[in-house]
Amino acid sequence: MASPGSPEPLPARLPGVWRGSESRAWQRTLPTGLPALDAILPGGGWPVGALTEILTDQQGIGELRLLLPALVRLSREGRWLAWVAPPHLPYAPALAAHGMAIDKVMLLRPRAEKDRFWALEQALRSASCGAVLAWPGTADNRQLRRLQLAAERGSCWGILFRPADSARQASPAALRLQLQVQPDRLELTLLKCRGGLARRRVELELPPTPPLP
Amino acid sequence: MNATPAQRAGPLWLALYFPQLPLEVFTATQPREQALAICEQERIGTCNTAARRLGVRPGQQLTEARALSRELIIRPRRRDLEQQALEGLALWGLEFTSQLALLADNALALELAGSLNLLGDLHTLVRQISDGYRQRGHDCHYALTPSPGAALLLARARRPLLISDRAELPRALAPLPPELSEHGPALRSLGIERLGQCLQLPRAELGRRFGEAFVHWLEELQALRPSPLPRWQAPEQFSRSLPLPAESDHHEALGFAFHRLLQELGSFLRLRVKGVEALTAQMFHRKHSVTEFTLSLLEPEQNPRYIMELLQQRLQNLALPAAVHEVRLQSDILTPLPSRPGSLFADITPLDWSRFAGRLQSRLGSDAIRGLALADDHRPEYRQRLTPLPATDQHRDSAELPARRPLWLLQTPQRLSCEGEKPLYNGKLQLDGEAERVETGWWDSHGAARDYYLARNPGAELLWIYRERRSGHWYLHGIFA
Repeated sequence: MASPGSPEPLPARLPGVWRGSESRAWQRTLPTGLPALDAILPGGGWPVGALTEILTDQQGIGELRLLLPALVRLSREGRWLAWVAPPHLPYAPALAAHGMAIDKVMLLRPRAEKDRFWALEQALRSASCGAVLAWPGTADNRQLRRLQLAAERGSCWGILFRPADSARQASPAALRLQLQVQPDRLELTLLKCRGGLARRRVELELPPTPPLP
Repeated sequence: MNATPAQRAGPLWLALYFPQLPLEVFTATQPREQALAICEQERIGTCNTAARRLGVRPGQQLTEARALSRELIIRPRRRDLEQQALEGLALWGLEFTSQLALLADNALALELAGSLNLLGDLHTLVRQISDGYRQRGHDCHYALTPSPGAALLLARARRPLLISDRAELPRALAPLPPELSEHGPALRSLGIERLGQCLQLPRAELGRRFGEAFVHWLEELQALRPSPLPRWQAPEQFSRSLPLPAESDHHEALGFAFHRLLQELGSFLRLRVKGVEALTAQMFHRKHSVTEFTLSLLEPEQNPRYIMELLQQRLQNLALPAAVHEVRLQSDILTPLPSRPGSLFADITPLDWSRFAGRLQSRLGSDAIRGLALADDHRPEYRQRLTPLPATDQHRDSAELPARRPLWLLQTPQRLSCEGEKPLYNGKLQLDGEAERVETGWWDSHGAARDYYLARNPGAELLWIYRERRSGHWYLHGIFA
């Protein structure tokens, strides 16, 4: 109830009016290159200066192709793409066939576990990398917060690949996507989406593999 | 003082005298409250305020000083460190003049007449110089006269006079005791108690008694004769040592000492307009041979803060055989700094990237950082190379890119088990499309033909597998991520 003299409370949602709480939506975005995905992301793209979490236990379902249009674009703008402790070697002939400037690929493969986290944080906060892709394994909330801050400071698109059961853990990431595979299609669930609606689902047609000539 | 251009026809020498330098080479890393004295030939030479409070005095017998307190640290005088420190001070002096000389017993002479038009008026300039040295933690006394010898005597007598007219010199020098000069004992033997007395004596008489050199000295003091001073040239490389306040193997203590030296290096580089590409850090132990490492930078670097960050990381990973009592920093490769054109991307200049990569390299080792390049080879695992970063060759591959290649390549192909003829990977694999034959060639030991297939497992994972024709074995080689 509004007390006398105080302004009337705003209705829950006025069309075209942003509430203060929503103004914390992503500052900058990077188009995903996938119109169906852009349509459900606030700002119409991947969040820059924040973490994106990709949750899946599978490999070979399009988990990289999903990111590829945006990564290709960054590389062609001369921005570095750092891959921190990837599970396999990114394969240059395939990346090049998708149009990536492979001389912008930077592989960081620290041997020690603690160096991996350190290198990841450095890459995120350096402001030298357009995107940082990382496979951090387990990470607790404190570590994730550090990484989110580092991504903010470095204005970097930070992508963390994490196991599916991390969904139960809270995370400061701006965007959390769960991946499920259907034959020829990828189903994405937005587990968390700062400044937007969570629990939305989208089915995507990914860039074909192998790429069309 | 009225320094008009007409009066400034000749040189003007600023003498800077650093009486506490024997102490200061140790106090750089020492807490102020620690009582410290420097000894030379079994006697105390200089001591700090904390030591004076304990009753220590210059000239005291060493045994007597030792008996005063256990708190007192006594160090033998290190003229080598003083010389290094004086050269560091001289280097900074080169910002004001190119005519600079090192004088005996920790003093400098700077000729400033030539710099006045460029650098403003004399009072401001002299204050700027002496304040600069004090801010760097040095006790500094100065005087300026047309004669460097007279300026030095006045500075040692702690009379901060600025005299541009040589006619005023006799009056300024007159009250000084002869001990300030190297001729003190001889003058005392003549019964001279103030320099003024000998300036009045007939020179011919003095010449007969003490020789011509002595007369020349007197004439130089009064600027009646030019003083030949060897012009000091800055050394090509930087090299400085610093003793630790106490032996230590703590990274923080070493880091603190190196931090001091890096600041010196920083001003060395700025003044020489150079960047350092490689430097050596040494740590000296009493009973072990020296521990040392070389720090290589990706590009000529001038910023001590950045070098410190790299050095700190090396220190943290360093295993020391014993405690350290002295550290040393030496530049190995110096390069004139290139001018840096402004970048369109203000926040991501190439410089920033090099720094970032340099930081990674110094902690992870250079082989943990790699770039990708295409190679002219049709064998899948040799179609790309891992290259050092930053990439040195701009080789662009012109060969057509092969179709159907996965985004992930396994570093070593993984042998797959089979159920009957069907390979397995998280379930039975369905082969997709036709085989792609790859001849791997007879010329190397890996030689064998392979038939590559796209394959899908029940979890809809898309894989790149091959069958080795000779053995019939199946391998997983890539993943269409």
